[in-house]
Amino acid sequence: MKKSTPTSSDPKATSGNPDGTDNTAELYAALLDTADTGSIAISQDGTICHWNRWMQTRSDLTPHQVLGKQLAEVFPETRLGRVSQAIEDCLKFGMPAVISPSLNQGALPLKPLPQFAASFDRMEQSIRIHPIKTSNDGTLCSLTIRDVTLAVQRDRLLRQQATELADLVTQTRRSEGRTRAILQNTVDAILVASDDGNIEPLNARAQELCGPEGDPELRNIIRFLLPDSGNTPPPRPPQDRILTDLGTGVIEVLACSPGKRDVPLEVAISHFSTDGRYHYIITLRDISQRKRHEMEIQRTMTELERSNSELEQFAYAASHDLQEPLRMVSSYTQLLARRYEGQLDDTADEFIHYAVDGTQRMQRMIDDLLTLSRVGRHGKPFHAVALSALFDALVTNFRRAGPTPEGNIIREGTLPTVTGDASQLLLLFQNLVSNGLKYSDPENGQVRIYSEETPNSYRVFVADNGIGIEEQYHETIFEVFKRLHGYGDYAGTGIGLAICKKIVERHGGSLSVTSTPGEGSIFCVEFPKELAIVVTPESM
Amino acid sequence: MIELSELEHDTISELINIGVGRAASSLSEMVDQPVELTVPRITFVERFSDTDLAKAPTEIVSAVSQTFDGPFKGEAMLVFPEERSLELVRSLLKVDVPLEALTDLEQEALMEVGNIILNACLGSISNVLGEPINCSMPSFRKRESRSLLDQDGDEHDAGKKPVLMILHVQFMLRQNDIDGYVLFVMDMNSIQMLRELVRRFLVKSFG
Amino acid sequence: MRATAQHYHFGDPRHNMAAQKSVLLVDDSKFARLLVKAFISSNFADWEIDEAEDATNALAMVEDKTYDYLLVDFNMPGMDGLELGEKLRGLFPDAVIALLTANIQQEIQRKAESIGIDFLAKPPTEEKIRDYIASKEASR
Repeated sequence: MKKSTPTSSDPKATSGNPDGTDNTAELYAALLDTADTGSIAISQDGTICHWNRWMQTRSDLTPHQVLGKQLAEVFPETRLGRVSQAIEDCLKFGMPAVISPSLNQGALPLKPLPQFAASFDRMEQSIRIHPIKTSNDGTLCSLTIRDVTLAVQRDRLLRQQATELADLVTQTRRSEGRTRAILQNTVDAILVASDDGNIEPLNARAQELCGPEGDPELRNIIRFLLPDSGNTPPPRPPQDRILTDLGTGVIEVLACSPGKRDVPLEVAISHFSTDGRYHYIITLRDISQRKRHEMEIQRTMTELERSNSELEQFAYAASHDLQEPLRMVSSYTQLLARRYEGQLDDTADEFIHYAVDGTQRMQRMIDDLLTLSRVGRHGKPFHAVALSALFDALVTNFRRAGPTPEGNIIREGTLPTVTGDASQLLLLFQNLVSNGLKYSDPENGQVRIYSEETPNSYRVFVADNGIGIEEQYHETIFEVFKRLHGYGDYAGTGIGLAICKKIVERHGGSLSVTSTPGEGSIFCVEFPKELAIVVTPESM
Repeated sequence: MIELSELEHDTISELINIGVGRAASSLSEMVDQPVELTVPRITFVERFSDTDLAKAPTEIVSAVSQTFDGPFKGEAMLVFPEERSLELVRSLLKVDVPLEALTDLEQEALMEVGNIILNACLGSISNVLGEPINCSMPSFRKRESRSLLDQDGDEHDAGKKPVLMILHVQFMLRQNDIDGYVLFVMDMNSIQMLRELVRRFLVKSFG
Repeated sequence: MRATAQHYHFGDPRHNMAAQKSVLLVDDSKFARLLVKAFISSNFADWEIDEAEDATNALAMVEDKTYDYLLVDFNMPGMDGLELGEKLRGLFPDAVIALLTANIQQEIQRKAESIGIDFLAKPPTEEKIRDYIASKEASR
């Protein structure tokens, strides 16, 4: 390297020293003591000849303790190490050296500043080793040591943060990939529309439907379905492409891609906003399958309705046409009974009695059958019916019909108001109450009516304390002409409960019974709070 | 033109190989893992444009440079494409940081690596030829390879065309091999002097 | 350098006993071979010194001739010195085999030791070569 500058070694240059002394060495040593870096000089023979104050404070070794010794004597661990090698190369060959903190952690055993003591055992150092040519052609070696602990700490932090950031990026990428995979593999087509009317397919299915291979009209249809963006509204698409009434909330459209089968789609639209802009997410679900099922159901329903109405027609016609000959048989047997009772022998009187009784029962059965067929055929439109009032009218009817023990028909609490046909509901409860009384002890028989509310329905109970019904008959009692007992025991045509069931079904509800034989039965009529759409008055 | 006999070329190669071998030992000890350094090829070219480095003129390279002065003078440089320099430093330091540039401390570590290698090469030549060489402290530069040799205060225009002695160096580390270059940039006078010294040494040794 | 030969006493009976040894130098650098050859022949005048520039040549040469000393460079194109050293050790269990290299890494030294070959640090100097051979001769 360059020879040491004459000013620093030439005594003449310092003759004008302000304090009048001539001791340049002392002045420079003092100057070096003010430096914020460590400074060591090593003479040709390898011994330390300068040790500044910084070195003293950071090593806790005074110049007195180190001057004249080899560095390896002062710090035995540096023997054979990089620092010693570099000093040797410097003294021998005049080679300078950089000793970096990363490759030589704590090259010299120096204390870190107190603020770093917690995370660093040693000061991190950046060392420069420099040859200095002396005037007598020798070589000195100078070591300059900088404290870079702070930089190392920052570097560690930087690395740590960089690693964390990289991990974060990896994670984000992974979860993004997952989200994309989910989106791509969703069966539904998903598109996003921004408020400028631009519609972008987000997954493969959407691309298939709205892309170049798809339905050219579909984007326009979607645009038409989206709330107005304030611009001119898009033209209304062809009528046959929108399958459902827009008022119902369920939107179904037909996608017609060239060369492919037409696909009915259900459209769902949701929205979100980012960056102050509004976006719509459009989900298109292929409902071909559902549509097929719906058509199947529709067909079955129509078929069912048709056969049902035929049956009712038949029942009505049969019972109506049977009435005429029956009335004739009935009138003449009654005539026989009135005119000839007591004039023939006892056996004849008995036969006539049976004939009269038989025709009367047949008359009742035909009446009931007619009633049953009329439940469907002659239903009235539904209105709100307050069951409490209806029940009170019912009790009055019973009183009018004949003497009944006081308090044998009881209403417990208020009954709900339901939607239905008032006259049919009256018939329903009349049948249930009379049924309850019929199978009870005429003296102590009691029928109670009460109700309860569930989230979706009202239940009205008709409970008696009669003979009860065994469980095996709980279903069959509602069938036409089903009787559990002989005619002699309990009167009735076996049609009453069938009429009840039909009325309840017309109201979209259900009729069931629970019973303990010997203790009584509880009939439960359940009315839905919302009437199912399928049950329309016309269809019955 | 540089005309070197086969033996002269071989001698310079051997001196450099000895230096590089010593440098590998020092590095290996410092980083506590095997480091092998070889010089598969030494070439002499007269123009930078003839070097392999000039084939990718816009590639960013990291270089550690030391000037030297003595009977022959010039600049010695350890050069890596930037990515290779990152790989090298991070393999030596056994860290894997997802940063795209050298941090200050990594840069200083690379300077030390360069310093060790360049000192060893120059020291080996100086030692065997018996001629002292003065070296400067290493400095670091990062730039496009085409402007690698551009000096800030350009002085080698004035008829002093630089001659380059180029060593292709290979670091063989535990995980991977990293290729770089050591460049000795000298003027024609210096390279003639180097050749003269080698010649004298051969005569002295073998007659 | 040859002057140093005077310091050695060739009248010494030990050296007479050791006369006429054969040496094979394996190094891809001609310069290195010249240097080592010069050092040996200036100290052990009558010795026969052969050269090979790589492992392939060396292995061909040892087929026809037996050597007392085999000095092998570590860093060579093709097969490296350690590998060659191991093969030579197998062929010549009693010969002196040394690995010459500037790379003084512990790992390489340890490997050399494990296959029973010595280790000489480059650059070769006259003292180094002379002292090494002299000590080997003395112990025979």
